[in-house]
Amino acid sequence: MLAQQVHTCLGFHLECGTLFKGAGVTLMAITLFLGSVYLMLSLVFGKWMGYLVLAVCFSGWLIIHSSLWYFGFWAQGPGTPTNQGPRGHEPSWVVLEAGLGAGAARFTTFGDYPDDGWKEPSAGQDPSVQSVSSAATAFLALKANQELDIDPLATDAITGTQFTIDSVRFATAEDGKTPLSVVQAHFSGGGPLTTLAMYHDSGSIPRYSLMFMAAAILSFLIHLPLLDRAEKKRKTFLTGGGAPAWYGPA
Amino acid sequence: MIGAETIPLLDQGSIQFILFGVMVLAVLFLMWVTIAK
Repeated sequence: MLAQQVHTCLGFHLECGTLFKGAGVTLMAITLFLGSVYLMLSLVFGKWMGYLVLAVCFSGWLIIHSSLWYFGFWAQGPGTPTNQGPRGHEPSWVVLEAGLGAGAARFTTFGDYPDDGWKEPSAGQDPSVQSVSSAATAFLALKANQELDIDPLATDAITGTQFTIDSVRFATAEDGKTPLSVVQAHFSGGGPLTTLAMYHDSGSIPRYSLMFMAAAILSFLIHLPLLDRAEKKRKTFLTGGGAPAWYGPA
Repeated sequence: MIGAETIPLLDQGSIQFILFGVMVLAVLFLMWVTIAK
């Protein structure tokens, strides 16, 4: 069977079995690896201080781990591989508007198309032409399948290869840095010339590493003063009062 | 206009991150309740 069924479970693009297995594994991992440590700590320090010791240690470890993900402490010099953890959006071409003419409210530069500043790609821009073309044809295929009510993974689905690119032009947006592109394409079996206004999104690869790091730092900053207070109280309990009376050697 | 690409406010990864946080808190709470004083 060529067509694969798209699995969705509770809004996630996963099979339900996989989702629940993953959730179960995570749940058991937290119970075992945090729970066993917490149990031991609670025996020594009591429930509250045991929790605080655990929370401070766990968030400290999370800070180290998310830093490793994010920038690797530049342990191998400036060339250290970064963003080694879960990755957010990769940089990609995003379609702002598709229609019969180029135009998108977000960038006024589209209004000048095809004149001022809109250049035909040079020989060195072949990789950019390829990536913008594939993003454009994938978008057109997606829209065509939606309109014709076809499953995008069905054997009779329209694919990006069924579209022909007529022209590609690049420009830089009025902000001076965002690359823009206007792609004209048509359905190879016949159809109107569609013009796509696109911009290059720089992506957000370190997003999740930063989210983990922010959450860990916040948790650390919340728990550390509480631990300090709890420890001081405990010390008073342990060492407060006078020394035991000395009755000489037994 | 044929359409435009829509970018969701919270992507799947962000939701998974939130669920992970909620799960850690839930398990810690359950352990807190379970462990005798």
